[in-house]
Amino acid sequence: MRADTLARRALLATPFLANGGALAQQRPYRILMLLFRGWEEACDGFRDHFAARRIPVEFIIRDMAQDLTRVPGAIAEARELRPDLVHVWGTSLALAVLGPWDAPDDGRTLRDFPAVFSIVTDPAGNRLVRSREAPGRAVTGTEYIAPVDVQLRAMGRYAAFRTVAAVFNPRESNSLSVVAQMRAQLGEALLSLPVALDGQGRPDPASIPDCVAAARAAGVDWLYIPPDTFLNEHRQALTQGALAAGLPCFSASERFVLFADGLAGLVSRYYSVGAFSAFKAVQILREGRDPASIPVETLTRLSFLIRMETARRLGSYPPVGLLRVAEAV
Amino acid sequence: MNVILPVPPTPAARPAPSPSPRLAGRVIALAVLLLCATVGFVSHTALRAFEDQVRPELEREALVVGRIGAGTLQRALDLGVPFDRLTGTEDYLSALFSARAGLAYVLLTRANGASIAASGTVPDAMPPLPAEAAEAPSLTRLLGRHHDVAVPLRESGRLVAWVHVGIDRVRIESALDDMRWDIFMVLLVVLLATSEFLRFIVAGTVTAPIGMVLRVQQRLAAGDWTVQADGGIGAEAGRVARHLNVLVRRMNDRWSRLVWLAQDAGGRAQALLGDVAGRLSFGPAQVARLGAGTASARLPLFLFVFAEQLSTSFIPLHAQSLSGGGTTFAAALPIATFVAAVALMTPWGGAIVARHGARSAMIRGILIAAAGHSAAAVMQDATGFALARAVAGAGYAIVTIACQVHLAQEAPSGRVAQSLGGFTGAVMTGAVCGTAIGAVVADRVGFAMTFGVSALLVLGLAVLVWREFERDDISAVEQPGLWRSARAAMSEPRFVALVLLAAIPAKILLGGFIFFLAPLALRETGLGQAAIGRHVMLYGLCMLPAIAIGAWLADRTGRGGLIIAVAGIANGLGLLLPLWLETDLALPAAIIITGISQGLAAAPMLAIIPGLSLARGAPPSAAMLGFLRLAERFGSVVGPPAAAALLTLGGGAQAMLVLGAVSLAAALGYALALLPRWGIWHAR
Repeated sequence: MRADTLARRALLATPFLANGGALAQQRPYRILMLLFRGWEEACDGFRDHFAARRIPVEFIIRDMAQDLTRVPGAIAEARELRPDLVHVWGTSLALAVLGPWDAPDDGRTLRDFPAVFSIVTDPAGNRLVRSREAPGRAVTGTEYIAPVDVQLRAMGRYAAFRTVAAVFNPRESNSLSVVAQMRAQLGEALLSLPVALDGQGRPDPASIPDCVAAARAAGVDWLYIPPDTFLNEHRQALTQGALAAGLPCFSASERFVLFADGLAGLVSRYYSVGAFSAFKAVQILREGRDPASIPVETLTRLSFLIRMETARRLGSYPPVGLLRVAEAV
Repeated sequence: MNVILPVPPTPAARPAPSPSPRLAGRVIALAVLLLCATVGFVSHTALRAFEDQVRPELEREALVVGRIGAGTLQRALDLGVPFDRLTGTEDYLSALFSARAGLAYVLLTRANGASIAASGTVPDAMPPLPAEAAEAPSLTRLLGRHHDVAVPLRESGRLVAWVHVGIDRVRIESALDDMRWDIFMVLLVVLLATSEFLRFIVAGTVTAPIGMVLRVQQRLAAGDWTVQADGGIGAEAGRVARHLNVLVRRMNDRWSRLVWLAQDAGGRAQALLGDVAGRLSFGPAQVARLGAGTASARLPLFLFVFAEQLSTSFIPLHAQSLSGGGTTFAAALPIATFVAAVALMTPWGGAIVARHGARSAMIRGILIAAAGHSAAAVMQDATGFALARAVAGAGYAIVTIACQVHLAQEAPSGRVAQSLGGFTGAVMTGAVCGTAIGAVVADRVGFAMTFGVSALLVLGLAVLVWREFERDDISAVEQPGLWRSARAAMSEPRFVALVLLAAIPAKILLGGFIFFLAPLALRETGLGQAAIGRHVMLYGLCMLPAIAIGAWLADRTGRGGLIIAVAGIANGLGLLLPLWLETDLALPAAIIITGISQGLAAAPMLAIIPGLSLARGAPPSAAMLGFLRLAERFGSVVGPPAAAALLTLGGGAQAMLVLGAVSLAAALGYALALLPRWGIWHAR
């Protein structure tokens, strides 16, 4: 079982971390990590932040494997384990585990322990917290995508545009949130391309080429990819399809450029976002701060990623000035 | 009773060398000359070292910019962007150009020299680079007035383009020029401050004590044995003074004994003694002590103005920051309150001096100014700061009037103008030194603390004045009130002519031309801020020696009025120069002429006052000096708006001509007013 494998990985790390601490602390902090799609770079950043500071921690890792029906079980287990802190990965999982900040406590969401989330989009808009400045509950965390207007400006700096198409999974709240913000900024210049849903209401990967073809037919200048878990699963198909159609892809998250064929993206590196979340966890565990008093923040330094091979194949090279600040991959 | 008293050695019997009036001047000149040579040599060496370092540094700057600029382009090529597909080069070069001040141009050319993109002012002719240059990482060459750095760009190892970065050599020269001027300013400040301190020390320890001994000797020689010297000053001169005092006391004792003996001896002896008493005066009971005179009010005045001017360079900035980054009004408010307080308090300061004496008034003024500086140091809001500046202004008014009166009173006969010329000189010197040093102090300790430094300096000065100045000898004559003094002064036609036709026009010219029109007109000729500052400084530099010359001339010829009239006429003609010369020549010439003219007239103008105050019904000279200063302030305030109005009406050159014509007419009017009573108008 995948969850067990991950738990073993964590246990390998634990003795080292525990021995490394110098330590007024009586026992390692217990952190329950609830992951949506397995261990990735943000989790590395989260773990390494503790390791670098020699803070003894014991990670208990539970992966939902993109199946939100596993959430009630995880919540029940958490109440038994009684961790010092819960770390939740991803917007959908955070909403399922933690619920809206102002919802009544019906026992279906986890409200018993301080929580830190990461890789979450628009937590205030999704009602995970009351506001970024004052979460309004014992939950805080980090955002990882740049504000939408900043992304649009970055996209225009690479190549000016008149129309943009956004492909997204209509079942993901984070994608919907970003697309709504884009609509507010671009109005009619935005072409919304939700992937089709199958009979069970799940997004159908087979509809991705249709979305690309629709964008191509509309003659858009960019194909925008929001931070979308479903599209991340199918990033190769999406970006290669776009490349074949001569469409440049711009993404809000690094995986579409780093591990696929997207042309460019203004991104927060997952590793850094994870480390930043760990920084907030340390504020709660070590400094005894109330999570409700810790603002939800995003990294102030973003990376402009450009995949040069894609640029060459598209014949769309970045302006010289952009290369001063961009990270070519 | 036949008591033979030992006769003390009589210093007066030995021909004491007369203290030459040039003694102090020579000592100071020699010291300043030596200092000038030493500091000048050190400054020159420092400047050379700076030049040696800064020139390559500036050239290297072009190289660094060139390499950074080429670096990004080369990176694009290395990442696989074909050279012909490079985009955004214009934007990139202009960003590079504007990110670094002082670049003349940034240029991207093909390998054959054909221009692709450029920013800045590119030279018309860009000679092709030698083929072997492509092998070097960069090439620096002189192109006309530019240092050109060329960095090659390669695509797959083949030379495809050059990035050129140019720095204007004028910029290097102007950086060196600025440094030369900075060093010159430091040198000037050091020399001026040194000469002020030397002047004070030499006056206090050498010339004033010798002068006192000579004056005692002169009185004794004239048969006046009722006088004693102050024995507590100057090591050698004090010893002589004490010997003289013993002599005076013994002579008086013997005289008393003779008088007593004569009473016994009868008629003939008494007749003889009566004859002697008719020619000599003895008065053991009324022996008056003759002090050394105050050494000089120059140093206290210099230090006071120095302390005041420490904040000149940053007051608007400080006021703006206190008002939370506020408006021009906020910046100007403390300057306005200071000037207003000085103007309003000057006549009152004159009244205080007349009532309590110069020393007492000076101490009061200094304490008020110290309170003003201290308040300015602690104030956290703009209004409080402006009020604190007004308090400092009140102190300034009182101290400056007290110093003028003191200098006029203590001036040796026939040297009133030179003594009062010292006033203007000390104010100018203090202003130059204070402003220059104040900027440095503020840079180190901050604005508020600089006011603290001013307050401490001024408080130390109060102690100096309290210790060094003689107590005031206030006459019992009742002083007229301020209003009566004003009426009396204004009913004196010579005073009115001096104020209306000389003092006010001179200050209108100063405020309107030097501080307002000249900087604007100089900017129009294309000069930078530093060069404008240097041009305006010419005024002060020319004024300083002219003050001394004017004072000397007035004392020597006794025709102060004539000097004032001639200076006014010259000043008026100076401002008419644009009629005959090009603006870039006429402006500095007019500034120089204004400096010289106003310097020449400064001391005679003040020196006329004591003479006028002797007239029947005239107010005391302290009050008249106060009114004169008030009138001058009025001229200073009116000058800039008047010039601004003229500028709006007909442009800079016309405004200058009008100001010049007004000055010329006023001076001619003053000269005409002199004619009927030529003899009365002597400065003495």
